[in-house]
Amino acid sequence: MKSRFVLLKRLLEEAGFDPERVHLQWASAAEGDVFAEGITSMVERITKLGPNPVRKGD
Amino acid sequence: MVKRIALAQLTSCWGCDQSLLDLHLKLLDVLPSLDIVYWPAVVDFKVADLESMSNHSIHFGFVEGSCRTKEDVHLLKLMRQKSKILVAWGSCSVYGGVQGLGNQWELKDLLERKFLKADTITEGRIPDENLPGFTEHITPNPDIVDFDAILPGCPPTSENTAEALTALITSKSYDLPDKTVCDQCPKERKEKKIKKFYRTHQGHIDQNKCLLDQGYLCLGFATIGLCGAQCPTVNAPCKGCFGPPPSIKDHGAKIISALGAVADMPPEELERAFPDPLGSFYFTDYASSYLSKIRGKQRSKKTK
Amino acid sequence: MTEREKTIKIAPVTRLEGHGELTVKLTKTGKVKDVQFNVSSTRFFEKFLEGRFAEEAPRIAPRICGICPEPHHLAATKAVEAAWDVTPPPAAIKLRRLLINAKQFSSHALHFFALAAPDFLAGPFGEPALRNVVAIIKAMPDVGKMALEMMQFGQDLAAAVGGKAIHPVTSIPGGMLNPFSEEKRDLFLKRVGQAKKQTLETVTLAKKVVQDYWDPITKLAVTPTYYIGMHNKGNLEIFDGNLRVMDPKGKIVADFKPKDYRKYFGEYVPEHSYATHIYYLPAGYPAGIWRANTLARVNVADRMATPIAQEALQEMRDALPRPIHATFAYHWARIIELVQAIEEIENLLKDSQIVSKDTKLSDVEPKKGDGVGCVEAPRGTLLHHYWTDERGIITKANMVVATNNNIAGIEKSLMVAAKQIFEDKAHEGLKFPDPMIK
Repeated sequence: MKSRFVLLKRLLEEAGFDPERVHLQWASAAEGDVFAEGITSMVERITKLGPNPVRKGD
Repeated sequence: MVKRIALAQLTSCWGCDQSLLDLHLKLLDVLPSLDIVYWPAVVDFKVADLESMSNHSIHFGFVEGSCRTKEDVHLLKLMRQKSKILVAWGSCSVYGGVQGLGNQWELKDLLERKFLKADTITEGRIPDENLPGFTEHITPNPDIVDFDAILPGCPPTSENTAEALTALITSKSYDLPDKTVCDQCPKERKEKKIKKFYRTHQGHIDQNKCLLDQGYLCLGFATIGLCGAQCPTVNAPCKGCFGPPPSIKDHGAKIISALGAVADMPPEELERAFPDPLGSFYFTDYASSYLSKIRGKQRSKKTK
Repeated sequence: MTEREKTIKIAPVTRLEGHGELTVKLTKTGKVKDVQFNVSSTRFFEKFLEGRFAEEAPRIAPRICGICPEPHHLAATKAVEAAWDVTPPPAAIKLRRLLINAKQFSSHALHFFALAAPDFLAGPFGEPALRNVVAIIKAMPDVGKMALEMMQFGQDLAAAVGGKAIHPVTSIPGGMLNPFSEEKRDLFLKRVGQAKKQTLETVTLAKKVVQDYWDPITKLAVTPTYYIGMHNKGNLEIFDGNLRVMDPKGKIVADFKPKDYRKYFGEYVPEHSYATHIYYLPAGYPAGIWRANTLARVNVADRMATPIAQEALQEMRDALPRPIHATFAYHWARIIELVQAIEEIENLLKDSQIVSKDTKLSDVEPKKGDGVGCVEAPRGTLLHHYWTDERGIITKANMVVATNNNIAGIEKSLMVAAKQIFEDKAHEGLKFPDPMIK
């Protein structure tokens, strides 16, 4: 999975997208805190980046 | 009954036309059933002649090339209007073509490189007199008008075009096969586990073995099998110029997914092996990828 | 005399690969004010080659032209080899020569029979419905069949060496990916005799056309320009050699290695064409406008590289003194080159090294640098210049394609022809034969 992710990220970058828009994180069922932290930091990053140009209906 | 045919070239290399001509003596079998009403590279009729024809009066319209200029868009719409059956002919027409790689940049960057910053230019300018003007980016033709048949390929082989044309002449439908280049390739394949990727100029190629098994990026597994595996047969890795088979929606996404499965190496090494996934995975069909379409939306928003 | 200014537009210019329109502007008194050859599209290869693996350029660049992908395939390979300092094995070079000559042969046959001959066989005043190769095939089936067989010989050979004829794939920095098998060689050795015979028949046909149209050929659109073309020690050459520039008086004013092109090539960007105008830089624009392609090559070369072609050239030079400025003589020069192509093909097929298995190096390493690759495409001098980084990725590309070497010259000769036709009504006084196809 990580292999695919690094290629996808590079592809996004080349296509002119901020690679910060995607994030891959592993969290097992026991790691609630890791999961929550991952989501929170992603939300923060995305809010900073502004609206996504992919939104449906555009 | 003799059928009226028009062949129009939007921005492209003319390779599809050359491929049709490469039927050579077999052309003599096809020609008697056709009345060529428009084919500028061969016959002297002009755009005005095409414009004066009544709607749907052409039995088969073949469109080669993609819309790089506003004139291309006009000609494409005209072909749709005049043709009963419209065929997207070749990868430029179906997907946008190699020039779709230009969608990686803004139009102004492309213009600047060619007309202002070329090494041999002393005084640059953007030409605009008696010229049509460029489109902001390449949009695949099927996103602009409806087609009745598509035939990808860079170019489609002479046999591909003959087959499609024969089907149309005999009123049969023409559908693309859901097989891949690997299905047509004579090289010997094994269960894949790739330890290292090589670039095409590197190393020694074993001509009997699968190129991907040997670590060369051969895209046959994700590419529609129409060409007869011409490139891998001569030890040149498939670059995917015919695009994916009908069941695959995004060529590059499929390739990334497959490489992730067969690459037996740390992710960092894989990343180093493919610094240009866009160019490597979308040779002639970047314009039809999800990413390019999203960028296109962004651009048209900006220019509105 | 017209009373208003008038613009004549020919859209598109037909029997031409690519996108061109012709605009002729006439004044109130019927004088030719302006002639524009509007090349109305371009694809920006120079830009989207950036960021790609340089060894993939020989796969990408052929897409510039469907009629002449082999020269692009080879110019791109040579440019990368120059940048990386790589010398391919001798057998690879012979295979590349075979490839480019196969293309030269099929392209010249196509050009002569499908693009040019209709004007001569149906006549310039013939109906559009008759003035094309399809009509020739119907009206003169023997000639049509021969034309198709000649094109097929060249295309089949190009496919056998290049993997496919349209957008070949076998040339790579360091050599050729696929050796030429003995079986294939034997197959083409069997066919080459027939192709040579047909070539000589084409020479006879071309000579008749030249005789029939002597008046317009020697009087219409005779346009002095500079000329550029490749040579090898004075022999006409299309794969590897120095470039020569000849001035309108016939003097060789430059003879240089292609890598030094920037001292001699100027690029003028017109307002009315997406194809830029390449010219002889030391003479300035428009004085330094040059032409490339068949006539330019036979003008700058001292002689042909093969004996039968040399005889054909001598015959032309006996009839028209060098340098030849008659635009219609391009077709004649094309036939002379067709002969050289088939002779070169025959020689290469008979060379035992052509089936060598040693066609590719296995230790090619990318490096930072830049390199120029230059060949002659059927329609003129073609040059690729790439810069690569230490990973062998293209950081910049400059390309001078055959069309751009010709556009300004085409426009200049169209101006001459337009003045002759619109101002002097020259076409009414010229002698034309009865068309063969009516």
